Amino acid sequence: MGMWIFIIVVAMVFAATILGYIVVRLNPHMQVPWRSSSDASLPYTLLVSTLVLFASSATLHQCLKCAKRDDTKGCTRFASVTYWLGFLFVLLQGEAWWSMWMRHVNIDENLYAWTFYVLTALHVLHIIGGLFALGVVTRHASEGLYDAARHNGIVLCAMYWHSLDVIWIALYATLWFGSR
Amino acid sequence: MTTIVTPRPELLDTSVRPDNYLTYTRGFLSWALTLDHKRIGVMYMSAVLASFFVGGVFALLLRTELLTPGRTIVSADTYNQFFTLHGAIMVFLVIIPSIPAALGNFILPIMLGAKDVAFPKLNLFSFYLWIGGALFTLYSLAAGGFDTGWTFYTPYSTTTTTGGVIPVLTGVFILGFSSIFTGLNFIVTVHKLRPPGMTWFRMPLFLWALYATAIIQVLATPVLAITVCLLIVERTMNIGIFNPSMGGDPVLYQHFFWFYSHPAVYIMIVPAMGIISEIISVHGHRQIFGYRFIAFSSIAIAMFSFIVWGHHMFVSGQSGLMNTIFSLISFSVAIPSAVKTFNWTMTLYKGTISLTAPMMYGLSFIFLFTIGGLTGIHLATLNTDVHLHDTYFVVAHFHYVMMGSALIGMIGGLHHWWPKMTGRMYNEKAAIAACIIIFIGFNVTFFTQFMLGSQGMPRRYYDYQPEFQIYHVISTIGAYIMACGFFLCAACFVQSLLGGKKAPANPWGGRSLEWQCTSPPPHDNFSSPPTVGNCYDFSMLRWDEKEQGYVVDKELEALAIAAEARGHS
Repeated sequence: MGMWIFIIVVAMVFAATILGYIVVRLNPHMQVPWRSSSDASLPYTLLVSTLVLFASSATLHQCLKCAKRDDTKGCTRFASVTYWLGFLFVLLQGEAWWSMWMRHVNIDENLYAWTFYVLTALHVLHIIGGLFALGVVTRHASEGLYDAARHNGIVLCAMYWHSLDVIWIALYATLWFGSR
Repeated sequence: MTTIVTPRPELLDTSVRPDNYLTYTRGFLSWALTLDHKRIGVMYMSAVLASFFVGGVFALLLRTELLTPGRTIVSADTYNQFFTLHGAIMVFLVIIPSIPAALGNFILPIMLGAKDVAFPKLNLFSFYLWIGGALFTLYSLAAGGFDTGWTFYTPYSTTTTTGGVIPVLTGVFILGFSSIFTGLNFIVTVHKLRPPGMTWFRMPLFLWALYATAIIQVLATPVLAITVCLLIVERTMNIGIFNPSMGGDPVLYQHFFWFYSHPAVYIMIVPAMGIISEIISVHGHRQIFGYRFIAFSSIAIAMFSFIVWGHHMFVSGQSGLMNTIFSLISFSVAIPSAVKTFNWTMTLYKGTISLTAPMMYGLSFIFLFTIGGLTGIHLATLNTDVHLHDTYFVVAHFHYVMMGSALIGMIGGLHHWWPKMTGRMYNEKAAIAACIIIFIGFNVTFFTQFMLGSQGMPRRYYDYQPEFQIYHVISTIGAYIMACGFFLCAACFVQSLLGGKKAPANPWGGRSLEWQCTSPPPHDNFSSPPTVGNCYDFSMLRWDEKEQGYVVDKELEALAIAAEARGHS
């Protein structure tokens, strides 16, 4: 239950941020264009990173299933795969940042680029927090601490991780519509 | 979770007096690393009272400055920092944590009949977060202070040259986390750790109030977190989200800020209302009137709190339709508030009122809250608000609610549970005298400000027209009277700690569970699961001369149980 409340807290943070984004995006009194014509569109890396994040959720789910079957080996394997997929996601987001930066978006004139950086950074920070939890889960799994009776650690971690998935979809959709 | 049980030496030695949470272990680390909710509560209380002292000193300084028009003791810039610090310290370091984190931590698990909160380590962590936030706030003074007002409105907060803005925002961010974790802990504790027999509708009203508060803390504080984050990023990197020249919107900041800070007002007042429900019925020795109404009105206030934030922004250029809607919803907050006030007065009616110190604070609360609440109606009304906006009328209104109600409620609760927390009684007469002095000082200070405001004196101004001076002088005198009252109150507590009479288990005649364990409570609260009954049925209590406190009379208890059984059949 504590984890549910925590997820609600995180969801409130993102809901407020997305709402704020929508308000400035749709601001009828805007004095400058939202996005100048020379600005880059959203990098395609984001599509790849989305797939990676989905895959990591799937492997984490497999990890939990293994634990419930008393399959310690499979549990460890899937936990570490999830960890590395999460790590890969962070790298891909970094690449997306880099490509935006390289394509000279005008950060001093309008909001388009900054809001992209702020929203993705906020999400990546939560992912990095989740990676710490995943690291602990992976270590515990390799020490054989999870079995059919005890796997609460994985359940809590998975709840958080899946919710970051859902949040990412909402965020990506917002960014995509916002860039039009 | 595994627990290692080691035999305690003091339990083997029967000559040592029964252990309590204060003497259970000794040494600095036993406090600094404690997971005991009672010790954490006491540490919070000490820290909050220390902050209250600092915030109070700033209040006296700024009132002194306002004695005369123009310069009295400090320059205009220093004055701006004084009122900002007064506001920020009192709101973020004192009133928000005072009841939930300090009194709530101590009382909630005992009142519920639990051994501790659901997540004791998280509880200790949130205390250290609070300390961290407080240190950042202190550091902001060294970094050049800040003069934005406690609301940090853009664009001023992103452009002012004072250097302490970012440290204090970081402090507020961290304090927010502390508040969220406390709220999370309380919700889970109330849901999961109720002992058998403690149904939702047997919970004391203070617990309902803390529960409602925890919901607000959990839902609203994250929005403050992202708001101050964006403000920090805006100030350091100029991202433009609050800057119109880059397509941003400074009013968006106000929306964000008040979406948290209006509910935050109820984080301050709702737990105080819970305390008053306890005080009024226990010291009036009468079953609380309209239990369910009071319980649900706490939840109703929590819900309403999220949909009224726009009433802080009637003059910000919001559309007329929005203003009308927010005005209407704001009026509806009066309903649950009035439900509580009427129920308290009905509880007092025909009660056997003991005019103890907590009761004096309780009565002060009802008086001051009524004034504070009713002047809110003037401000929720669109046409009067346009005149009164940003004047001393607003200052007086929110001091009546935040100080005259929330803080007085907190001090009343501290008097109510002081014997339980410390095991010592205080000098009742002196405590009552302190309450009366504070009450008089408060009204002298702030009632005057209603007149100042309605005549047009704007808030936060350093200089003013000579015709306002008489009011400012009276108001400043009131502030000093109030300070005397608080010093007397503090002296009472110090005297009690040094040489107060030993407190009985139940000095006031309460029936909720905290009065069933010894004063101070043992380390794990209850040696055997407590029996849960109707916590507002005082008929079975009688005063025991030997004990110097109230005890449950077996015969009266049998009668009460028989009566309840008849009621059910």
